[in-house]
Amino acid sequence: MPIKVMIAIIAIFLCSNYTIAQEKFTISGYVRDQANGEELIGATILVKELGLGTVSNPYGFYSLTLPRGEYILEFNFIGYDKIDKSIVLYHNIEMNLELPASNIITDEVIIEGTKEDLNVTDVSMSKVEMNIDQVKKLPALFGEVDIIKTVQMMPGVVSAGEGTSSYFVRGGSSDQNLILIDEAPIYDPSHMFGLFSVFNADVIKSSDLYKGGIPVEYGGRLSSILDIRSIDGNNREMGVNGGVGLLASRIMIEAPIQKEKSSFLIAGRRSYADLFLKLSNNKDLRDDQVYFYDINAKVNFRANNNNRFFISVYNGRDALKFGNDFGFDWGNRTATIRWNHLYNKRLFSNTSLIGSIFDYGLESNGDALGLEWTSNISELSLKNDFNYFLNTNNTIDFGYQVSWKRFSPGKIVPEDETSIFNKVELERMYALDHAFYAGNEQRISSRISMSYGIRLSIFQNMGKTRIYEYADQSDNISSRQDNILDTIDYDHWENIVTYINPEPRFSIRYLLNESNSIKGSYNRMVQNAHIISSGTVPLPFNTWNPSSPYLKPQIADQIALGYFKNINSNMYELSGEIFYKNIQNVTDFADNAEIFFNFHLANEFRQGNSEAYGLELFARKNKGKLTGFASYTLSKATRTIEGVNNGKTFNANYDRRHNFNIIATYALKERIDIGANFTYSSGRPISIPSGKYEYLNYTVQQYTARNAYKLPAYHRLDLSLTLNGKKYNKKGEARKMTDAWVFSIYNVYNRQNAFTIYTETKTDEDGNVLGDGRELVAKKVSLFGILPSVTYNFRF
Amino acid sequence: MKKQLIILTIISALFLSGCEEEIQLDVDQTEEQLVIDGLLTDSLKYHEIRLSTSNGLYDKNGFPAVDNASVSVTEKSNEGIERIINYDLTEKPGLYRSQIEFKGTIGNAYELRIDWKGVTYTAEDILLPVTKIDSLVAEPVEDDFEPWDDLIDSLGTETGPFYYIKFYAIEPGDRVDFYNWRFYRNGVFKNNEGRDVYYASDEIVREEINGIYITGVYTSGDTVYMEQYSISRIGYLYYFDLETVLNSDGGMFSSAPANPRNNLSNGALGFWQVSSVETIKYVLE
Repeated sequence: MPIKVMIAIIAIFLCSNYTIAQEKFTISGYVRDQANGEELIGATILVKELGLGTVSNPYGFYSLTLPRGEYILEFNFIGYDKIDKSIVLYHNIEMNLELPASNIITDEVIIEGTKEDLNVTDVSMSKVEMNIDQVKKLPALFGEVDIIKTVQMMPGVVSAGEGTSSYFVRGGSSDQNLILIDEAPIYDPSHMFGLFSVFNADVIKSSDLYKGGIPVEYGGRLSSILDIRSIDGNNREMGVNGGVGLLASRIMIEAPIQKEKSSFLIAGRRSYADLFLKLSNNKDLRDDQVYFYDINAKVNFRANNNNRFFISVYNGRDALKFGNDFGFDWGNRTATIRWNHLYNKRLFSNTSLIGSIFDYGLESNGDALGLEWTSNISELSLKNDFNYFLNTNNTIDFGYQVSWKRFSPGKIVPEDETSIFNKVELERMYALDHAFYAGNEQRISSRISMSYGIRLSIFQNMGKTRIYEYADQSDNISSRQDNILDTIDYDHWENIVTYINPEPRFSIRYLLNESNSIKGSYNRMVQNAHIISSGTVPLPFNTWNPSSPYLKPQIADQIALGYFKNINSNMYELSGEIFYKNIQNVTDFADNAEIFFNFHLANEFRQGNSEAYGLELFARKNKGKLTGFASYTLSKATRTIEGVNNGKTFNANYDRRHNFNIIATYALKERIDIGANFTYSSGRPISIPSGKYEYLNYTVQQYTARNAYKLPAYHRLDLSLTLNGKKYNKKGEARKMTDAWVFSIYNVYNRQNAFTIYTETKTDEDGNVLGDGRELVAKKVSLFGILPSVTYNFRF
Repeated sequence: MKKQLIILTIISALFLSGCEEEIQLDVDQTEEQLVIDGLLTDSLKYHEIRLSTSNGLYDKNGFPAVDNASVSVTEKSNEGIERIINYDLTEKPGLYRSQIEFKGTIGNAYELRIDWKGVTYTAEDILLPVTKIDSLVAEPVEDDFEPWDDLIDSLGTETGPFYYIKFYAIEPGDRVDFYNWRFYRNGVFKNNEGRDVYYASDEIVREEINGIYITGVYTSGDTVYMEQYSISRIGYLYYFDLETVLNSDGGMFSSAPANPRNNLSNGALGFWQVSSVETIKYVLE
């Protein structure tokens, strides 16, 4: 939709919302946790008399502008006791409110009379919130609590494979997911190739996954946004939180610097598999190195109610080294500096300066093959978001973001003189990525609310770099000399190409009654960073490329429709959604693409079309002894790309027909919780040989079609048992320390799920070729059978 | 198996749980496709080409030889002089040999033409120069080297001595070179059980080939023989793709496997390789 038309529409909506001249006042402030002063994100504030309300923003701020009068405000947040506040509004009021955490265990089947519930009333759809407290009670691989593994259980989301941190959302590839920690992008969320994610559960305050109807303030990736926000640190008293597991241990310290005003948090986690290796009898294993660590640190300072500052830093790294021959490492480093400012009672702003670096290195030793290889991507962004609480019917969000990005795809440095390698570096690439956005969430009537807006993405690919002009850009066979017509050198900051894309977003909710609603949404998303990987699961050793003269921005259009229902006073939330997504210029690579250290990667790019549609069903039980959710997804995803699979439509790597997940926790006794996960997913499409032939002495697999075969279905059950420590000591006093043992069993019925299938010459167990070497066998690789683990968690 | 998979397997093996098992794939019989295994070098000899067809994944009857094709090679010099060399079927099934003894000339292009079942398959490759192999050097294995059963069986010794072999050559820096290497131990082609292909491009290789290890472990009395071939760019791509196909993990981390790019028309599999060749032989004492 042209921008002018959008602006006109927005203007009409805003103007049509005329109000009779009446004196109005604003009540505003922050909603916090009584115990530690943490701001609560997404708390609802309901004006009982008017049947309308608002929700606290990501910094806990709320603002309501109402006519003069007397009101009862109901403050509500899941897991906290509800508080009603009577106010007499005849001037602007600043009210910070603290909610006490409700005691979940004694709370059994107490039904609260919350009439408002976000599942039904919120305009946003295709959005799920992960409750970190529940995630902690669920069974986990090696006992490491991992929010990404719960994301992978959500409707519309499928795991890329056993033990990976990659996931696919609504027929999008895994590089189409934007993962943010305190607004900073994480380019690779994996530790140990994805067995664990980089998120230390102890520091997570909120985590929201947006799959559709994506708000205007988010952009840059096509399929989803995972917005993870870390806790700020207790500003009342010092707290220590930690856990000891089989594979890794973690500790977090939070404390006030100046009580009620400023606090800090520091958290660390490290694995110690390498310490076990040191004990090994095998000398080679003793020299091996396998570890990862994470450090999260945060400082926040509340100057006054109008100004608040945060600094948040994350540093995580993995290192693996096999003997003295081969090693690699990778990691993310991010830093966010934020300033929250209230211009007035209705205009909230957040300004962030964000830096993020992802890098990896490979190192091989040995005279001739000695080399060190490094690659990184870095970005620096300035972001300014405004929330303008215009009136009870309109909340306007607007802002801008500018990011400078540098892509350094690879550099090889020979280890010493004897190495056969030259010192070479692939051309670095630079980009400036701007986004301007404005949107309004508007309450049209008591039944209809909508949210609409537009994001304007302006992407500039810039120098300093060298661009080759090719006779045929898609020719990856001819010699370079023959194909290159010209080389153009661009200087620093010199513009190479600019892509301007408006991204309209729209959502509507129609309330059928207080516990039923239907919603619809449309969004367009644009992606200008393309991962250079053609596998199903991106490895940490994948590089990214910006949109360039040879790589057009990827554009996704998605529509979704849904029905939402709460029953039994919101004890159960039900929803069903259907979606259709179409992606233009989806980036893929030619068959046989050489994407590793290729100076002319542009010759391997192929862009085409991707289509996905599906049905998602979701049921969640929020209260009572038994809580949890079940999700089912029926979907299909294909790609059609000239130059890939002979231009014929093929199943996308991320195509999974059926997907079914259950997560449940049950408070068995006062101090015992049990948890269960069950997951079922149709098999991954895979290319298997259709025949074989002989060349020289090689028996070679012959292929006909891409992704035409499906692996066997994946399913698995995990169980956990949490034994909570005593709450009271012998004298009947509350213990300062709380602790818990968590026992997990992963893959209870020991299913050997297919991770992948490959074919090779038939050999015996020792690798000796059997027969004449002309027979091929298919082998199924499974990663984890039944795996018990134990973790001890404490907090004081 | 791909490196990434090996690593994952190591990680999972640490916890005694990863596993690999043989399974039967449910695949349809594929259409037979002509496979060309052709080599022409700058050595004076009767040059040979082998023709066969592909067969089913689980077919155990060997690869069907193609005996009823007509095969010829046209030599095209830079001066525009053309000469046609015909090939005849030998007594070995599917093996065709040139009617005359000849050697390829650097700079000339060689066009292969095969007529079979009413279809004409053609391929053209150019003969490029190759640098000399300077030397082969034996290097004793590390002190803590422990020979595995298979190695003991194939070398016929449990105690060694065991050697690695390295080779040295000067890589001319003033031109773009692509290499294909073939290694033999006592006349037997070594390719790591059909998984490894040895090829390189000098885009990232320096001007010296300083001690590249030859595949395998050797012992006293072994004859090590190696061939160094020049290949064209498409030859390099063919071997690159061949290695990828032989080691595909099914598209989990690597790209979805596809048939190697080659210089053959009409979807024929295999490759028509035209090379200069340098060889060296070394007997371990």
